[in-house]
Amino acid sequence: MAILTVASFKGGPGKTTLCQVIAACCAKDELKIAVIDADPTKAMSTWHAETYEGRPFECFAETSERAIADLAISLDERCDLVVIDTAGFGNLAGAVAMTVADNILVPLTAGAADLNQAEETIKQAKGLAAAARRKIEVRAVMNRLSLNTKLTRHAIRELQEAGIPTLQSSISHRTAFGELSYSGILPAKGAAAEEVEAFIAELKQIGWVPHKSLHASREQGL
Amino acid sequence: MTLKARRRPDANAITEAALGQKSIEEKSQTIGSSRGMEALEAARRVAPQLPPAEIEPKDQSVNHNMRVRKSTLRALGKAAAESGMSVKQFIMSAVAEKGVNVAPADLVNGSITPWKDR
Repeated sequence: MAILTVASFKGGPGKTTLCQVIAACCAKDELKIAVIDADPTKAMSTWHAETYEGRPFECFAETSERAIADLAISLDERCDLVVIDTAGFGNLAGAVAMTVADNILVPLTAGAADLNQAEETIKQAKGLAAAARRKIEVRAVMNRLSLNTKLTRHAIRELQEAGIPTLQSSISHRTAFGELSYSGILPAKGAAAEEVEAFIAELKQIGWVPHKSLHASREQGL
Repeated sequence: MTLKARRRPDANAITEAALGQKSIEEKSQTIGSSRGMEALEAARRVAPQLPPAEIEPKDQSVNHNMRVRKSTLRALGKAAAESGMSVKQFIMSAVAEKGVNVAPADLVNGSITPWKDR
């Protein structure tokens, strides 16, 4: 139904954490979701295989620029959402994952280097969309924020001035998101859970994540 | 909530990877859909400077020297010639039969196979 690539040509803005959150939430909502781990570190696929404890979803490790688009397209035919986690450096598999996507989410922290790199990633996404003659929507999302700080306010202002389309929701720097990588369990209560809920609700509202599973309905003959 | 212990990397796997003895598995097959091909072409056109995410290590040829008695070498040469094989091919075929994972390139007759076809 849709391919969502989480991309940034810089390491550390939280691509894998966001992929974990999106995949686990969608699986919890009974959406048919598949994740492609295009990062050679295999952080997402290792987490999925060894740590994740929620409702099952499929996850494939694939870093070949020749195979990734076809894998995404074949999964797209039978899933409600395909999420691609990319590596934190410029590479061809990441560029192909952006080209084949319907939507690209670019996470960034409040640091200047993240903002610069997000701007570059968004520029590249636009170039790829033009070259492939496809409409690809791109949005940034602020991650690992320290709320109510001068730094965060400054970064938000910089984003606005740069004209980078950004999600209203954001994810803060919280222990619960670090724990997710060891526990395999989404934060169920508290501020972290509220942030996750708002983030997924906004993705649903802009149509990047489906509200309900079309594939599950079809399989049940509804 | 239980925080699980991280999986420790296997030392053998790290050593194999570092020595280039472990190739990267191609887990999914390339189907070759037009949208997939277009995506790859567009990515190469827009960002020709980008490297692959992973580079498959080459299975390079290396020397392996072994001291043997002259009589052994003569016997090997004779047996290989009788089988229509080179000495290397003869030895490699024998160890492959014993279950050793010999690279296909080491099972060809180097003396009659043109270099470009090896």
